[in-house]
Amino acid sequence: MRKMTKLAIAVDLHRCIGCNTCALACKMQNNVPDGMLWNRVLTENCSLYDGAEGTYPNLTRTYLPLNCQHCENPACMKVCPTGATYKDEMGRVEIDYDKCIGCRMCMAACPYNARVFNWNEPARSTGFAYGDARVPERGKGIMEKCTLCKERTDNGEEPMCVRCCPADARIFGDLDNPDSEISKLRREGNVRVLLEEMGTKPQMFYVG
Amino acid sequence: MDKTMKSPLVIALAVIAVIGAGTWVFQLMNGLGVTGMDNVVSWGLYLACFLFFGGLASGSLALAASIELFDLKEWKPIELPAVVCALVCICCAGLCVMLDLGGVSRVWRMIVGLNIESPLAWDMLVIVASIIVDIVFLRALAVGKNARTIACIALPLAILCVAVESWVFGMQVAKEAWGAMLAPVFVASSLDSGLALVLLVCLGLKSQAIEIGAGLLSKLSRLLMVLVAVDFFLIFCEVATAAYTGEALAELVLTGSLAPLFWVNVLVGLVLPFVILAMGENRQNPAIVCAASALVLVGVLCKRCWVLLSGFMVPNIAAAPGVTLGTAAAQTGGAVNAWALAGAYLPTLPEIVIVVAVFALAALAYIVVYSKVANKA
Repeated sequence: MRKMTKLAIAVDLHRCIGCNTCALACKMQNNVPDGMLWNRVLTENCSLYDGAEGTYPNLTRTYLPLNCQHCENPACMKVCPTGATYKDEMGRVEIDYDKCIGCRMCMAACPYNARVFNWNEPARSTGFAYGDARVPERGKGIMEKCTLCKERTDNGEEPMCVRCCPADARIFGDLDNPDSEISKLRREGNVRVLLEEMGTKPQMFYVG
Repeated sequence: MDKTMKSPLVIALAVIAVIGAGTWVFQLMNGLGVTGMDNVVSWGLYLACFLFFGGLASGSLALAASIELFDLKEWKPIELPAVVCALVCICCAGLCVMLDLGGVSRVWRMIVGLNIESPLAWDMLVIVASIIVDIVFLRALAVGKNARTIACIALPLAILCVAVESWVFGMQVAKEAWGAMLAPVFVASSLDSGLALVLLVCLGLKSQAIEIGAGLLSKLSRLLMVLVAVDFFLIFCEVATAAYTGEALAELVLTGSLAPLFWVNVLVGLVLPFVILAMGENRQNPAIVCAASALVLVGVLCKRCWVLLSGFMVPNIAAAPGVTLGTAAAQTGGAVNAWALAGAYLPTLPEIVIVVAVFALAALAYIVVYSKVANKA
């Protein structure tokens, strides 16, 4: 029997400094076009980036990197009429771009606004495609999102956002392996998942 | 039939439809970015019209099937127009979905490799079933055969169709504003808008020469009045509950960005027609009943819009700078144009032209199909 894998990313919010390196590393690696991000860094409960919660002098600030949560019960997968969105054997939620008909049902279903759609022909201000040549190109009318860097994680490498984080705030690993760093982190406690009440069972979690 | 095809109205409608088709080609070439939709409000006018046409189709089909099943002999004159309305409208509903697709050339993937768990899959199946049932029903009426059997299937199918359309929205856990209540709300507005359409078509299209006697007119307008009241009650339940529990929906529709659509729906589309039809002498006046029907249709279209948009206006995770929009402005304008904390939507000119063309096509199709079928009957 094949060993099960459940790849996931965890973010240590005490370490995240909101530098956006992960957001741009992802954009670069995956050839994400202008006008959208697969991974975005948000300032929780604020209307301005780098804002703060509370009233002076009792202020707090939490940066929240947000990408596809690679849910165990993905709402997007259930509603995709062509089966373009699927959960693979490594526990990642992926999109088969050939099957996507651009109906955007998955976008309405995702509670996290994690998906981005190519409303226009993808534009790149560089004038050329960038990043990893293994990453497939997506044309207009196709949905895309964080793939957990499929091309890298297929080969045992870690996703680019994890690799590039200067604060070591992102931890990547196999949740089905009890000895992995990410599983140990989960057991330590002080862990939260986003929008738990929606029942999508996100594999991504946040510490602190 | 020839005279129909050459009438100025038919030619004008055909021209509008052709302009719409050209605009759709423009949209295919440039992408859905030519519309007002973005990564926050990812469904807009096209799907609002899909819901509108779907409701009209189900409402008129339910009306025709009821006339057959409950043997309402006095109502027979409107049965055939109702079935033609149902067929034309369900086809236009399907068309609206196709116009909204980003990759319409791959729509065959919905047949090969269909994911039966998806509400869109169920939607496709009920629409196809409705088209088949409508055609069988129409043929039965046209050649004078017994339509009772097909009416037995048509009535529950019509209601199922509306329910499935509501589930495309209501079964999404991600959107608080869309819930289980959407199914009865949609059924109510499909019934009153369907009846309003049939009344408008029968009374308004003089060339079709459909005889509605004073007795029938009075009954139909009284039914419309009751259906409008039910529609109002269900919306009231939904919004009052949201207001009491402090859900975002209440603020959005009562005083927020969706308020114009909501109040037009309620005041112009429900309260005003009800008040008009509440007076007996108005119910017997064809012109006034036509006007009230038109108001109901405007109101229901507004309703489809605010119900659809209500799911998108407030993203679940309230954090700056928000969601990356993916629009053309986002592509060229940098960070200022790329982010949004909340939903904002206005249809663009190409979107409006395409939708107007679909309405023109519906009217054109109705006129052509009805004259063909009425000649046979």
